[in-house]
Amino acid sequence: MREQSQDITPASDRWISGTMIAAGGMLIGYSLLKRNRSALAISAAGAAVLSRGIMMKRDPGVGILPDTTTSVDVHRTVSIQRPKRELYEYWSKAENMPTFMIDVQSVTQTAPDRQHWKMSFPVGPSLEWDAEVDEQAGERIGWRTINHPPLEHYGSVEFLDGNHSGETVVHFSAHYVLPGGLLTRGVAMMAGRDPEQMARENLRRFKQLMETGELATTAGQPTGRSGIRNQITESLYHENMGRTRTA
Amino acid sequence: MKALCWNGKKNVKVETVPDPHIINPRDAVIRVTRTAICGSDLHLYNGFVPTMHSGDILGHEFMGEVVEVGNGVKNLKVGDRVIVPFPIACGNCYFCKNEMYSVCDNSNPNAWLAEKMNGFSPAGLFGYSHMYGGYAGGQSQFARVPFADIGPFKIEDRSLSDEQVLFLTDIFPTGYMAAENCDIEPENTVAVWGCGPVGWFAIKSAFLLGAKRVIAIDRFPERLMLAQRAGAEPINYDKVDDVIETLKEMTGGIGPDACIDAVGMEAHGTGPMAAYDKVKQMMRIEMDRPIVLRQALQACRKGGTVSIPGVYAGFVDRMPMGSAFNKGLTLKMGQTHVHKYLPKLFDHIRNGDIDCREVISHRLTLEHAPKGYEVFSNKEQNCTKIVLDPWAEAA
Repeated sequence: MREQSQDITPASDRWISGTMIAAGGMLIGYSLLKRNRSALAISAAGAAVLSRGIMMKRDPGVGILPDTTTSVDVHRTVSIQRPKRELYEYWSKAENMPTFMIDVQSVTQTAPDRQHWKMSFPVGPSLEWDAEVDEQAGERIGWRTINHPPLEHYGSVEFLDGNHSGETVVHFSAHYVLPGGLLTRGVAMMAGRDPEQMARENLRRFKQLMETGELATTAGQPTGRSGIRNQITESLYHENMGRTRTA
Repeated sequence: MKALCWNGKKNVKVETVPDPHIINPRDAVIRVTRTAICGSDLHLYNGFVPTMHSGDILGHEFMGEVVEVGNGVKNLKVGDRVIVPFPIACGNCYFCKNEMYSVCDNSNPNAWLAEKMNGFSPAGLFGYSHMYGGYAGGQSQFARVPFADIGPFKIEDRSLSDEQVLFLTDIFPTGYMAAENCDIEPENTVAVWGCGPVGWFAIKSAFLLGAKRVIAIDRFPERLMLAQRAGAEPINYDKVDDVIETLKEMTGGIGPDACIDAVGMEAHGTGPMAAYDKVKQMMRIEMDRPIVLRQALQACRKGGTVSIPGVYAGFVDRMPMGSAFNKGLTLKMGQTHVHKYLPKLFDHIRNGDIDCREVISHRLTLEHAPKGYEVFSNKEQNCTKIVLDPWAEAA
């Protein structure tokens, strides 16, 4: 079952282990040159990356991440100034998912209750999975991954009438099982891709798109920074996260 | 184009950067004809606002001519002359619909960061740090304006000069909202701390709203003169022993009915308390120096109102909450809901109730803006307000 969802080829595995050994070595070298407080953390990270790289090189069966998992529960509520029916209809169409979900490339409806999802990150492997979808028309959409993909999860989004007329309260909740345990979560967090952050941003983007018809962004505006310096600042604030799409 | 970029504490430079273009359907691009340096830009200049980065374009008071509109903007066309409110507001969220534009839900692309720091996110602002959206500002030759169908306010009357209407972008509405927040009744006395441009507009607005007396507190003679010309009674806090006692003396022992803190996080003061705040702020133990706010809370009469247009960014210490509570004070504050006030304040300008040009002390080219920041920050050359022409050739 697990092999099915592995999309890293042995050739790229070799390349990855080599890169990890080199990167680990460089981090340790850098920490030796620095010799300050952060050097300790950097050398520890370097050692972790280096040792994992060596393990992968020795045994092709070893993956990039430790064989542990961690689960994350996410709950989030937002109020949106649009009628319930409209929000439900937008969310229930598979092809609309990439318009507000970060890193989601495509979602195709493969059967009335089945969807195929493709997701790719700025760095790292891309993910694909199948999900079973269960809808209560106009009220609630639930989903759960099937066939044990690398990122197993289930969740639901519920639409309730808000206090003000034309307002909807949206409840999102989901449960994710992250491969690689806390290491994955730490790396994901730094890249703004922790499941909790993603859910919060996706809901925020859904609200923006539904209320204003667009996603607020500064990506592409003028700045006195150029090249790598600007890319670093943009990544720091996740300002480059997904270019604008319109409803 | 040329734009003024922040490059670190007390370091701003005019740089050549790419021209802005339409990114979202509801964007417009403005050719900036006039822009100004705001007192709150000095908080950025002096490095008190976190999440600034080298290369950020500054400026949130600007106006100009529309040169490009996105296909979602139906109410503006190329050639329209507009002033641009400093908060960016979508017009669709609960807060915009209820005229609370400066706390718009949807205009801050970096809302997650503001939520992390303050628990919620206000609107995005032009040129005011990444926490408030990271939007490029308007101290530049062109500017991109998001949600341009909601923000920009058309000035069709060409008999009014740019300088007469420019301050509708921020400081006139800010002074006006500060006075409106005081719920002024006839016979009321209002005390205003800080006689910079916002303080001046607050004084003018307090009179427009029917205040009987306004008392103005500052230490710079030229600013106190400006306040006096607007009809206020001045107190130079460097020359009196105790501001609170002086205010009591002047109000029959009662205290002002309402107090306005038009200073904010970088307040100056005298005595040990002021030194305490200065040290704590320098050590980053306290983000803001609430010297004026403390005085306002202590000076205000029982059951009065304290209105805070001055900017605060983080945490403050040693607030006299006991005094505020036991006197039953009302506190009102926040970034200005500029959009809400524009039609009314434009009428005041057109009717000649107020001449905004009175606060301008310096007119500079964009090239000279870095010098302008230095002069304004050091309060040299009797500087009260600097207006920039981004297209004028440097002399």
